[in-house]
Amino acid sequence: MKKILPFLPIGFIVAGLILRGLFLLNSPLWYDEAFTVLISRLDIERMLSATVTDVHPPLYYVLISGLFTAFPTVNQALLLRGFSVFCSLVAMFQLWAISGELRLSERARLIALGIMAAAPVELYYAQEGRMYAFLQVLILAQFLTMLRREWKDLTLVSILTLYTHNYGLFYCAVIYAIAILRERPTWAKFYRLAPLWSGLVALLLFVPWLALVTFNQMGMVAQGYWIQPLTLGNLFYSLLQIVWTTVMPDWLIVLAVPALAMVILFAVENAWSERRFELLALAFGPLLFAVVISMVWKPVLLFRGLFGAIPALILLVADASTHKRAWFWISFAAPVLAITVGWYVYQGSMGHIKSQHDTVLPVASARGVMVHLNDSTLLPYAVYRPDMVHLYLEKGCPADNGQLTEETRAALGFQSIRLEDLPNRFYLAATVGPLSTPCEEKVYKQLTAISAPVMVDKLPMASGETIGINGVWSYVSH
Amino acid sequence: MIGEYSALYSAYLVQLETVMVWLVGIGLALGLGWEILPAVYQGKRLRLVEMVYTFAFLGVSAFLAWRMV
Repeated sequence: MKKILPFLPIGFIVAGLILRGLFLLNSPLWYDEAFTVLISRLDIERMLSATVTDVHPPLYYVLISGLFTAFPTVNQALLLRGFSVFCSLVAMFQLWAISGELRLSERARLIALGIMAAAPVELYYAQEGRMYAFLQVLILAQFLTMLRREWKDLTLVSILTLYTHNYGLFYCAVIYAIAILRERPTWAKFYRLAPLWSGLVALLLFVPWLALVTFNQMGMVAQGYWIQPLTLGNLFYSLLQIVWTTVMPDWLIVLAVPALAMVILFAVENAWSERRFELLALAFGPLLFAVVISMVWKPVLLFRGLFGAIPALILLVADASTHKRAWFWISFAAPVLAITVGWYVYQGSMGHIKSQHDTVLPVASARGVMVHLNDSTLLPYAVYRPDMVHLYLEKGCPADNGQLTEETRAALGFQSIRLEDLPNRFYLAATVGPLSTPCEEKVYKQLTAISAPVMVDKLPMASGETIGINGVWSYVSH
Repeated sequence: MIGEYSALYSAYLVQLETVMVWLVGIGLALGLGWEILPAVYQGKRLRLVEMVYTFAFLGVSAFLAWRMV
């Protein structure tokens, strides 16, 4: 066993890489990923116009745009998700380095790396063409430079974090608070404190973007359907989504949620007694910020934004798992982890990992003009069917939650068509679901009543009821 | 007024809210129960009670999950 131990970390990393690479392109790009592809194809000026009126800052899109330019012949979906796999690989090395800096036991370090390599939420975001895997790398780099007191590097990484995701503000607040407390400043020497200046410089360089767009974006985000008003159940569900993911069979929730509650309970208790306050702050600080702001201002608790805190939680759990009475909660959590990993790989092989509501349907027979009831279909089809003309339908309805702004749609180069100007022959792509307004549902019913279905996918809830429809219809005027 | 699918989804969220609160409550109760076991039982008896406690609740969870399939 002693001969194997030195090779275990590299073994975990290789296993993690294999899990991340498995079935990477089996699930088609969904709405958010399609948005990344389309926005990253724009020149820098139009990209900024599109992001200023959208949700997150532009750094990630600039990076992906650079990748598209550097490798013009490589499949863009592969580049997009491959970059996330690469980031996730880097995060495994960073986790190892952080666990060393914090002087965790060798056993705890190995357990942490093993969980990091296989955790379904890590696999999910490693295979997602969005900024979350990159964000996690930046957060871990911030944490590592903070632990090593490398203030110039911390400043640089903090600026990158702020320009990658709106939640960067929460992470920076937490990491700089830890940094300042670790320096144990006296009030007389407060002005000489390096992390204080580092934080101020980072914030100062973020002010232009903050002043221009962030407050506007936060308001838009809070109107989106994915940010529900904060309730206790909603908070727990967000934690379930970001710790286990929801890529699990429904029946497993009976075990997964109590296991999650126990994992957090024992991890926090252990961290408190072992004085692992830095990890505690990183694991739960951003969540606390999101909860407080949601309570005093608008709902901003977006579970995906908490992805950067997951490695800290993994380290806390691994540290707690070395306790002699930990076998109780491990006997609940370990089966959930094993089943969810197996389930994730199985679903990945079937191509069912991403949201099926916002992906393309294989309608090879469709040709010519495709009219889109909303953005949910417009973006993925624009990526997968560039041979067709895609038009956004102006329905005369109030804006549905979470849709693109007109400015962003225009910057992406989409054209609109009014109901009364519809051509004699076209394909209709439509999704209706929880986002839809009654007005939109009415237009959907009007148009699908006079069109022939080509392919229609009903989206069931766990209870069996249909929660939405994603389909393509053919319309020919008679 | 919200749409047909939004109404369905809202009803689903209400159910989800209740289920999540109950399941988290059960998890916390189980964890806290585990914490107080050593104060109630000592020595070899504790080990036995711990085994029974773990397998009883794992068994109940597995049964409920099986009923949901």
